[in-house]
This record gives sequence, structure tokens and C-alpha cells, in this order.
Amino acid sequence: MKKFYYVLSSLAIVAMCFSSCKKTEDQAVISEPQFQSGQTISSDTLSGSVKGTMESGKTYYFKDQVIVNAGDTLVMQSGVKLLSLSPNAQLIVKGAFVSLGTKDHPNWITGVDAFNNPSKYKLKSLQDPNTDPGLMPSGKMWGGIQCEATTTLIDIKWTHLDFAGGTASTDNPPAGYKSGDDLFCILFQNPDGFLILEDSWIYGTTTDVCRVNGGKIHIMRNTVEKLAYNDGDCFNVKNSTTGDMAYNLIIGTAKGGTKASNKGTYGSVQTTINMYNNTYISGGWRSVDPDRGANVNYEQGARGNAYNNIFVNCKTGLRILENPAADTNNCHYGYNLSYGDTITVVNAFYPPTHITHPTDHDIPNPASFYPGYPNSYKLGQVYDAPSLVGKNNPQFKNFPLPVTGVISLYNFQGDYDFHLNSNSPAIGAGYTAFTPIDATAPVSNSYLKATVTPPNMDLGAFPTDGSGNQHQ
Amino acid sequence: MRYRILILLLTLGIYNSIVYGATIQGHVKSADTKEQLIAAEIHLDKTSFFTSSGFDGSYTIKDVPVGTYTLKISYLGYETFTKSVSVTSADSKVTVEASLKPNTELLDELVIYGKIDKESERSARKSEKEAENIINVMPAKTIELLPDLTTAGVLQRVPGISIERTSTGDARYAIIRGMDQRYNYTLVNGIKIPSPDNKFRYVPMDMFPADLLERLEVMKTLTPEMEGDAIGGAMNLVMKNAPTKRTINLNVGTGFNTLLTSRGYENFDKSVVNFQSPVDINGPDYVATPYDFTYKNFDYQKRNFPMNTVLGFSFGDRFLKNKKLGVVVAASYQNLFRGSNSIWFRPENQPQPGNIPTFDGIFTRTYNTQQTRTGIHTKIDYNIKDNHKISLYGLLMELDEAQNRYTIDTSLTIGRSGTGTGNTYILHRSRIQNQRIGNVTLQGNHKFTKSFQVNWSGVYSKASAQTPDWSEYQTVQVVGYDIEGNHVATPQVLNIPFYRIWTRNSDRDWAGYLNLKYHRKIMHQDVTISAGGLYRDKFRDNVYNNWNLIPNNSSTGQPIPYDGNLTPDKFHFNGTSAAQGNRVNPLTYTATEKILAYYIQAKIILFSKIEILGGVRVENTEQGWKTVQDPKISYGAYGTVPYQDVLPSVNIKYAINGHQNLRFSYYSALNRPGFFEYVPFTVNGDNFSLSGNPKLQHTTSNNFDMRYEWFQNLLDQVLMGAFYKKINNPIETAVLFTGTSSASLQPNNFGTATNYGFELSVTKYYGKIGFQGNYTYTHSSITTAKLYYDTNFVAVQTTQTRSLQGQSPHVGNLSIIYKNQDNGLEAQLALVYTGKKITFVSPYKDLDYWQRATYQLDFSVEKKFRKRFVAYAKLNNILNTPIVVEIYHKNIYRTGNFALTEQKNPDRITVQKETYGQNVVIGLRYKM
Repeated sequence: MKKFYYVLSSLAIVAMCFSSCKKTEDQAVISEPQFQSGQTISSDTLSGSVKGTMESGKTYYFKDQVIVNAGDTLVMQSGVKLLSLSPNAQLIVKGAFVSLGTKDHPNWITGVDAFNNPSKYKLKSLQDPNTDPGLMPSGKMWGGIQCEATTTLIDIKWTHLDFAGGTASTDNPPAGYKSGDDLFCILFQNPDGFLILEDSWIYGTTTDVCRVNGGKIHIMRNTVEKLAYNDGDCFNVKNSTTGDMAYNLIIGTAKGGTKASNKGTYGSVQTTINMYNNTYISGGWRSVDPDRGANVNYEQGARGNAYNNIFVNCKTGLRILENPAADTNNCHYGYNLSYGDTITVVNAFYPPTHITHPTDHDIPNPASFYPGYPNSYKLGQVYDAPSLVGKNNPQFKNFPLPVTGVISLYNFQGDYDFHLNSNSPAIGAGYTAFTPIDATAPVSNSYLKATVTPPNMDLGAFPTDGSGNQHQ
Repeated sequence: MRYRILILLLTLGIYNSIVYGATIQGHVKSADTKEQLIAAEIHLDKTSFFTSSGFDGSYTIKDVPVGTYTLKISYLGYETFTKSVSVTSADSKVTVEASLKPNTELLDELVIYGKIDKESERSARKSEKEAENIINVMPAKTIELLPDLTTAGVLQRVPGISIERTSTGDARYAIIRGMDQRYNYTLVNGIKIPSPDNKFRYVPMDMFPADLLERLEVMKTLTPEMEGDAIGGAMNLVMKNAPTKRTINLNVGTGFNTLLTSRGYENFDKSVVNFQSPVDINGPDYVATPYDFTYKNFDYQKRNFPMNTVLGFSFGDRFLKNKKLGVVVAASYQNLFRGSNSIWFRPENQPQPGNIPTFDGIFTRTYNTQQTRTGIHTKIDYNIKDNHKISLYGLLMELDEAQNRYTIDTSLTIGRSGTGTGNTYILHRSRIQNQRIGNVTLQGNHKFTKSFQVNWSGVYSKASAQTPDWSEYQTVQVVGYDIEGNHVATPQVLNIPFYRIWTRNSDRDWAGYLNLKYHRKIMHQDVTISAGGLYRDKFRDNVYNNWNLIPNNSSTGQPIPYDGNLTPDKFHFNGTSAAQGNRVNPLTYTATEKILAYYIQAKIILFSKIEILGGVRVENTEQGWKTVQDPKISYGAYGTVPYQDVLPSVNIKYAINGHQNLRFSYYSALNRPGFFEYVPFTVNGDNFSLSGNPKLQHTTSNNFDMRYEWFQNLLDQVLMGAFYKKINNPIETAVLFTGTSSASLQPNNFGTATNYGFELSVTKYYGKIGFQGNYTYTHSSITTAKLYYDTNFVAVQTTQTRSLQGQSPHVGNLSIIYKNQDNGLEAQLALVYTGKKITFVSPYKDLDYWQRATYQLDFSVEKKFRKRFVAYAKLNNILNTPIVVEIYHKNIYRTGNFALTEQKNPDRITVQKETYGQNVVIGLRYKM
């Protein structure tokens, strides 16, 4: 800790220097102090119970369970690679885990082979999921970050979490799992704890990227690709979870995109999640369950604001569950753009089996295709709108719309660019009269705290003012 | 006397002018107790005229020609009554009232023990009357006439007992005075037997074919020499003993279930099931593929009229000089086809805001079950000398069940926009369950002097169960409407999960019992002092393994429409450890139990009027468990819990007169946590994580009883009793709060519960017709932690006071029995009433599931012919009584998009309704 204060105070002095002599434009190159906790980790292989700091720029390895005990903290400074030598490699976090990558020096947790040969594993063309390393069951290289009820903080910034998941090892499955169970990429389960996941990349999981059974969360500006073979949602929260999910680019999920439920709640907190300015591409097609696979989901007793999202070729549209009902009075949504290349997709913009209210500020405007809207409109009404196919192209900088071939195979980012062209209908179509929840605000340390991006007038994760998702 | 007969003869003679011969009639009673003697043998010497006395002691011999006869009346334990009778005219009626003197030479207890027919109803009444504690006895003679094939079925006829049923409506567990199965234990010939259950110690009572029983005893209070873990009571199955003369019984029966004959029976071929899992065959590290599993267990064959088979055999005889060696062998085999149809509205675990129950699916299920029950037992006893007896007992009970469960699950949450829409899942489950209990007991009884006796037992028991390849696959499709209002459905696709589970568990139990008894007169009063003990060593092994087959998607990543052929190429595993099965899981664990118990008790009989039996028992227990987790990493991977209980008790019996007793009793008892309840291995559930609780305290209780007994004669009786139980640290599974914001479902201790009530049991015979009725009122109360999901969408912690799970406030039986000794026709119509009871405790306040009160009506009839044969018929569940489960909450599901069927009551929501059909058995018994 001493070192930390020293670092902080020196930073303050540097800052004072800057403010006192700001008359010139000279660009000094100054060393960036790094966040540190406890001792520097000297060994290059992590094993057993571990705490301390993994030094900036270094490469570490792990091959089995690495445990951060309750009260302990494990820190990855920027540019740290934590490479797995075995699918049994796994982080069990009972205390705190911090990964502070930066835009210039991102961190990596992935398999050693995938790190060394990215072109072999992260394929940039349409792939059969049965042989695609990102989706095939045998392609998982490490067992994710598994937290317990004692976990106080997971803080992951600018970090690649690739090929995580698999099934729980027989050696010692994490708490709550039997061996052989599907592993979440991140399991978080402390309603009083904080989960920050921002500016990070997640590629190829077995099931959900984040399963949160209680927590204060901040999930912003991440890019998620190739998520789950046929059973998994992207960000799936339950049990008294609050926070924001915004500016995420979510491509090719097996089932749902962002999902909130108040299931299993206790204590005094209702699940409240804002889902705004996300871009969802080709979601839900691999789900075996025919009615799952929506982009935005509010389920049992959950509430929040869902605005300014772009939905492209998702199997099911925004879904407000009727039974057990979401907190429908406090679910606010609209100003979302839906695009579909097939009749099935456009006819599910408002899934007829749910109680999603069309709103006048949606693109397309419901009056343009709903027979009798709004006067004789009935909630959950079935409609048929072939005219919507291919309409309202969001005009991404580089993504084929209409897609060529099968929608479901567009499950990766590759060289695609989801920034908006200047002719995009998504520009200026947003709604900003609501505020982020900022549930992780108590994490105020300047290194650790979350950076909240407020809602934007442009839709999707990449608004034209450049304030959103910073990837690519 | 002779004059009186003559007068009677003359006066009664008038009424008999139509018959061809005279009638000799009268009553037989005991000279000392004045009780009627039932089934006394009456014959006219040197003729073929023969009868036996009825239930009120009366007898009649008809069509006796004119002449002088010697009337002989004999009865076991009494001197033969002889009288000369003259019949003077063909239409006369002669009445002879007989008083039989007890045969004092036969009064030695040991001799009577061997000779009185323990299977008879009068012996049962006698046992109830003479017992030191409060018991109810159901003898073989009564059981034979009951409509039940298993011991569990018989139990529901015993005062104060209700039963838990299986999914096909068969009785399985006994709830004694509102205390569910965990609070009761099962003895065979006084020896406690282990359970094939993988978590708990209670024994499924339907494993025991009823025809193997000599008698069924239910002990409702304990004496110090009895094991102390019966807060509710103990069930003792006394198996058939070697008779005094050669006896052979045969029983052949068949039958059917009306539900199955009306809708057909469909099941899979048991022989295709792999009893060994992939790791059993290939070793623990084996990585399975979908090709390692059979798919033939989902080929169901239909049968239109499956016939049941019931077979029974017993042989008993005594051999050698003085008939020193007794042997009995009995076997029973039942192959029964059972079914049920059920509809279940599955409640969502968490209610709606305002704590209103909500439902997530409609499950329409049909069960088809084949039960094969085999029981064999044998006993060899040898009288070394008159006062030294040794016996070897062996028992093997096996129950195999092959069950096909077909489910149509219409989701109320996914894809639902009103009736006829929503995700529809079709599930096929094939399951074999095999349960076995074996026991070998070597026992010795030694009477060293007139006043000193020793008895000992060495016991080896093993109970085991397995469910090989218990598996279920499912398909899913969504049904909805198109814009024209036509029903449309997506193609069926294989859904997740498709599980293949192998479970195997065993309980090995060594026990030794030693009892010493010393009897003498102290100050002219009878005093018996007993002391003894027990040591038991138990080892339980549980293995669970599960493979989840994941359906393959197409090359475009989409689910593939299911073509109806279940083949291995359609599946894969999600990872290597998934292909190894859920090897590390909470249900793979071992458990141990060591018990050292000892007691001392004294029985004092004061002035031949008051019997006091009191003493203390000490039980030292050490329970332990070990999971497959790494103890260096996982909390509670193994542990032991030692504890000691000091259990005082006293039973006082006051004989008001020869026919009436008044009893008072106090005993202290315990209840040990289930083996699995300690295991802290946590598994994340849908709403809450679930785990055992190693901090669990065992349950103790103080029990107070009184009973008034009136034995009007050898059959008629009135029993009136009351009880009060105070239970400390009862164990219930409920939401446990850890800190301010986390909760899990765990077994836990909840303060003090109470349970009190009264029982009334009346048996009354009027000649050939008898009435048996009993009624029990029970009131119990327990307060446990609950959640209340309020209108602000938060669940607040609260408590709820309710009755114990399984306890019905009102339980009753009423039967009408017809017994005609002359033509050998017997019939019984039996009604069982079980009041409403909680069958599931919800984690949420006031949302427990209640089973509605039921009336079950059964009938049986039998007819003796050619002296040795009995033809019988049993008709079970005449009213086809459904089991209905409800939540007591304002019913908002009678209309609207989420309306449910079967909702008749505005104040209660029906959750489940199950029907089983009637069961018919006809058969033939032969007795020699």
C-alpha cells in the first residue's frame, strides 16, 4: 500500500506542475505510474493461491486453478499477458481481481497457442460452428473467472478474454459447480460487490459471458463475438443486480444479448439495468430454444432503460417478459433501430409473444407496418411486414447489408466496422434524457473507477462523436 | 344344567320345525376372564359335525339327527370342555353355554410364545393390551383380508398413520401422528434395518410384500431398550415364524389396473439398459462419446392389457427330537403394472410482486411403471435346551421399478401469448430403479436361571439402490398464430438437456445387541431389571454420475429439425470434463455412522395392578461424511459430528380391571440429520444455491402420552389416547440468510416445534359383522424463515408458522367387516380419510403446497372352500380418488392469458392433479 500512496502523491505533484505552468504547448513524455497491490509476482507461472501484482508488459502462465483468497487482490498492470497452458487453467477469485489494460497496452487472458497464432484461431471468414475454434466445444483454453460471495471487486479494463469457459474440471470444480458443468466466462455473485468490465474483448465462450447473481455492475464499450455454441446469453444478470450495459458491440450470441431478471432476489435491491447504445448483430440464431435469442431482455421483476440500440438481423426483438412479468411500469425503452434481412427477422422486431410496446420513436416507426397502429393495436399483436426487409439500413462503415449468405454465420467482427456512415438513420435519432445508473461509483480510486459514457444522440455503440466503443 | 337344556330345547324347538335336524348352539367363553373365545373348535365326538366359534364366541351346529352325543370344545391353552347332549326331536334346538378352564400347565410364557397363533387378531389385541408401551398391532389374519399388497398400504389402516404416495399412487412412506418419515424407523423382528435411500435413513415401506408379515407393530412410545430415534414412532415388521406343525401356504393371484386397461401401457425393454456407466466400464478418466450410450431405452412398446402377477409361498415346520429345530421359508413375488395421469402447473420459484404465485409451465404427464417386488425370508431356530434358543434369520427384499414418464410441457413463460401458444416441450424419461435390503441376524435367547435371561443379536445388513442410465430427452417447438389466426408451429428440435444419470448407493450396517434381564420379587412385588446395549457401525457409499448430451447444430449454426430418430450422431459434449460425467458432485460421497448405546431399565409390577417401566438410555453417535472434493481447497470436504443423548423414559400402565388399562408415558427421543444434510457441497440452483449444512444440530424431543384401553372381549376394543411432543431443533430446508444480501436453501434448525393430538380407535363385532374405526387429530406448529416478495420487487425476510410437512389434522379409517365362519366368506369395505396436508414447503411466505383431503375406498372379499383353499379378490381405490395439490391463495388463474385448467375454487390455486385408476387383484390361496 505504501508504494501506492507514494505513486499517488508523486502523480499529484506532477499534476500540480502541469497546472502551474500551462502557458506553453510542449508535450512532455512522462512515465505512467502503474497501479500496484502487494508484492510483485516474481514467478512467471501462477499456481495455487496468488496475490500481488503482475508487472506491466510481462507474460505469465497458468495451467490450473489460481486462487485469489478473500481479502487478497491480484492485479494485472497494463500489457500483461496471462496465457493458459491447459483448459483447466482458471481464476478463482474470492477477493479482488484487477486487470488494467490500456488502449495502447491491452491485457490478454487466453490460451498460449491462440495468443501466438491468432490467425489460426480467430478466423475472419464465415465458419461452420462445428469446426470453428471459437465455437466448437473443444476450442476452450481456460476456465474463466469464477467468483464467490466474498468477491469484492472484479475490475477488467482493456483486456482480451478469449476462448474462455469449457466445462468444470474434475480436479476441483469452483463453488457452485459440479465437474462437467458449463463454465461462465465470468461468474459474479456478490450483491454488495462491484463488477467493472469495460473496453474489453470477449471471444468464443461456452455459455454466458457474464452471469451475475447479484452485484453492482458496469459493462461498457466491450466487443463480444462468437458467444456460446447453442446455449448461452451474453450479459445475463439476476438476483438484485444494478448497473449499466452500454456501448457494447455484441455479435453472434447463441441466445440473448443483454438480459436482466429479478429472479432469486433478496434484500432490498431490485434488479435495475440500463441497456443503451449497444449494437447487436446476428444474435440468437444458434439457440435450440425457438423463442429465445432476443437482443434486449427484461424478465421477471427487472426494470431499466433500453434506448438507442441498434439491432441487426437478431432472431428475436426487444423482449419484455409477460410471465413472470418484468417490472413493466418501470421498463422504459424506445429510440431503437431494428434492421432485418428476412421476413422472419422483421416479423419479430416486436416479438408477438411478449408485451413489448412499440413506440413512435422506434426505427421503423410501428405505424408504418402495424395494421391499425396505434388505434386498434393490441399488445403482442401478430403482424406481417415484408416491406421492412432490408429497410433502415444502419449504414455501418464496413458490414454487408443485406448480408450475403446465412445471417447466423455473421458472428464475428473480423475486418467489419460498425461505425456509422454519415447517411446512417441512426445518427441523431437517440434519446438522452435519462442518466446512467453508475452503480460502481463507490469505486472511486482513479485507477480502478469505471468510466461512464452517458447516452448519445446517435444510436449504437459507435456514435459519430467518437465517445462510445473505442475498439478498432 | 341338564334341566335347563331340556327346557330350552323344548321352548326353542318350535321355531325349528322346518329344518331336517336339530340345532346345537351356544357360546364359548373363558372361565376365568369371562371373555369370549373365538375360533374354538367344537365338534360332536365320533361324528363329522364340526364348527368353530365366531367373533362373539357363538357357535351353531345344524342338522343334527336325533340321538345322544358328546360335545367337545377345545381351545388352545384351555382344558377341553366335554358335555353329553341329547337331541330328542329333529326340530329341536339345544343350547350349551361352555366355560373353558385355563390349562395351567401351559401357562409358562415360553411355551405360549411358541404356540399361540401370533397371526391372529385376538393375539394382536392381547399384545396391545399386554405391551409395556403404547403399540398398535396388525396381525397377518387382518392383513390377509386387507386390500393392500404391500406393508406401506397396510400401514395406512393403523390408527394415527397416514402415508406418502409414489407418482403412481402407491403408498411408500408412513407418517406417524403427523411426524413424517424422517422421524420414524423401521425394524424387522425388532432389528433396525438400513435404507436404500441415498440421502436419508427412512425405509420405503412398499419394499415389503404384506404377505410375508406375521404381524405389523407400530410403537408409539419408546422404552429404554428401544433405539431412541423415533420421535414419531417405530414400525416393527414381525416376519413369519416357524409354526408348531408343518405349514405350507401358497398364493397365486393376478390383476390389472383400470387406468392402464383403458389407455394402454407403454414402456421400454429393461434389458437394453446399461447397468454400467461409461466410467464403470472404462475407468474413471474415460472421456465418453455419444456412442457410449444406448438410445434403445427410448423405444416404447405398447401393451393393451398388462396383467399383474402375485405369487406367494411359505413353508414352515419343526424337526428333530422334541421339535428342536424350526424352519420357515417364505417368498413373495409381485409383478405389477401401474400408471398415473397427471397435470401439474409448475409454479415459478419466485412469486409475482405482492407474493402472488405464478406459473411457468403446464406439465401433462403419463406414467407407466412396472414394479417387480421380490421378498424372501427364512428363519431357522434351534432349541439347544429348553431354556436356550438360538436362531438365524435372513431376509432379502428387492423392488425394481421400470418407469416411462411422458411429458408435454407447455411453457407459460416462453413464447406464450395466450391459450394454445408458447414453447412446447415433449419429454421422454426412461428410468429403472432397483432397491434392495438384505439382513442376516443371529440371535440367542438364554434363560440361565428362572430369574436371569440374556439375549443377544449379531446383525449384518446391507441396503442398496441404483438407477442405471436414468435418462430423459426432449424436443421443443414454439406454437403460435400467424396473421390470419392459423395455428403455426416451428419444427421440433432436440433441446437441452438430455441427461444420462447413473446413481448407486449402499448402506452397510453391522450391529450387535446385548440385553440382560433379571427378575425377582422385592417386597412381594415383581421387579425386572434390564440392561444392555448396542453398537452399530455404518458405512454408506453414494456414487452419482451424469452426462449431458448436447444436440448438434447445423453447419450454419442453427438447430436441426428432429427427424424422430434418436441417434448418437446428433449429439456432442460441451467439454472434456463434461464427457467424463459430473464426476465431482455433491451426491458422490461417503457417510459413516457409529452408534454406541446402552440402557438400564426397571419394570415393577405393584399389587398386580400397576406396571411401571422406567429407565434411561444413552446414545453416543458419530456421524461423518466425505465428499470427492479436495479438502485442502473446499470447505467441509469431510467432517464428523459426535454427539451424545441421554434419553430417560417411563411407561406406566394401570390395570383398572381385567379389561381396562390406563397408560401414561414419557419418553425422550432424537432425530439424526440425514446423511446428506451435512454435506456442504454447494450447487447453484435456479433461484438460490443449494447445499447441506455441517453446522446442523440433531433434533431432540420430549414426548408425553396417555391412553385408555378397553378390551371388551378378545376382539372388541376401545382405545383412546392423547399425545404431546415438544421438538427441539427440528430440521427443515429453508432459505438461510448469510449476511445482508445473500441467501441459500439449506437444511437448518428452527427453534422448537410442537405436535399434539388425540387418537380414538374402536372395534366392535356384532356376530358376523364387525366395525373398525379410528380417528386421529393432530396439531403441529413450526416457525421457519421465509421470504415475502413485496410490491416493490424486493424479497424481505420474514417467518411463517405452519404445520409440519406431511401432517394432516384429521386422519381416519372406517371399515365394515363381514366374517361368516360357517361358509368361510369374509369381506371388508375400508375407507381411509386423510386430511389436507403440506406436501411442499415454499421458500416464500404462505405459498406452501397443500394436498387436498382424500377419501380412499377399498374392498376385498374372500371365500374359503374345500377347507384348504381361499379364493380372494381385492379392489383398490374404488372411487379413483385423485390427488389434488393446491396453494391457498386467491385464484387469479381462472381467466385471462395465463388461465389454467382445473381451477374451480376462487380461493385456492390448483397446482397438481393426479389419478391412478383402480387396481384389481384376484387370486387363490392354499393353506396346509
